[in-house]
Amino acid sequence: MRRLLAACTILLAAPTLAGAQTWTEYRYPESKFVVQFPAEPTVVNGDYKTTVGQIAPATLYSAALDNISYTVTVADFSKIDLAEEAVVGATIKALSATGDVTVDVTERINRQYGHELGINGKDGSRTAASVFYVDRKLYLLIGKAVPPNVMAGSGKLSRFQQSLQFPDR
Amino acid sequence: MRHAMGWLGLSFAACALSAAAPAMAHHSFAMFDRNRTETLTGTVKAFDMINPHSWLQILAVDRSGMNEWSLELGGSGQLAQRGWTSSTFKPGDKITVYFHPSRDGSNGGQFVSVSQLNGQILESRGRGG
Repeated sequence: MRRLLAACTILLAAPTLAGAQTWTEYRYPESKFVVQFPAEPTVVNGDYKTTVGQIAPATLYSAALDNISYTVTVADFSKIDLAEEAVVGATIKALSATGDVTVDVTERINRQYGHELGINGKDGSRTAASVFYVDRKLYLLIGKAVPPNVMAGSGKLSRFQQSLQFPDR
Repeated sequence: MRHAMGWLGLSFAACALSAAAPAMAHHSFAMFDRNRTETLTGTVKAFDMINPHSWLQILAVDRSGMNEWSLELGGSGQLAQRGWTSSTFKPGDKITVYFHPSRDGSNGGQFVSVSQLNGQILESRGRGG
């Protein structure tokens, strides 16, 4: 999780992309999900470390525009002996530690159930997050707006969060 | 006769299920508070009539200044059945929308209906997005 948060921090520090904002749907059949980004995303392979010390191979799909970062991390737990509840629980616990959780609802996407959270960060940021566990893969979506004026981007966080799909699953 | 009625009932149930399946929304809209409906007046920035859900981006002035709102609608096929097209809204259109707000207080929500300058009221759909 710390690696993921570090990656998010790097993204936030990166120069923002120029050009008009257009939302585009991206399909990732290798990871079996679909999502919309407002800017061209990059794909990076790495590791995802849980708060309970397990490390899973992961792929980070990310984009940044204005004061907002958009990331989807897909971590493969198929070869790790860790229950779904432990993975999801640790992920939500780590997210919750970053600020005040304003909402945590059970959401269905296609035929999969998971969590959607809203978090007001200790650093003044605003985060929309989704946590799903499908076929022993953790899907962690994080849209994060940083000051100033986090409300200006909050609608975009909502769109990013709601655009996640698990087609045919 | 009893067997015939049984098969008839089974066939009816199968038809009902197959008809209902495509209508299931891609997600459950749990993040939106359907017990509340709010109003927003602003200017259309973009209207993306797409699947599985369309999006209306609106620029509106609120307490923190000019902000962009993202409202989620039904899919393009669903909207087309109601006579909507991709040009139903154009950038710059002045509109008043009614929507179920996001539970986390963000500038997002589930679209309910819109009132246009000409007084016309358009609805996305009744339930399920």
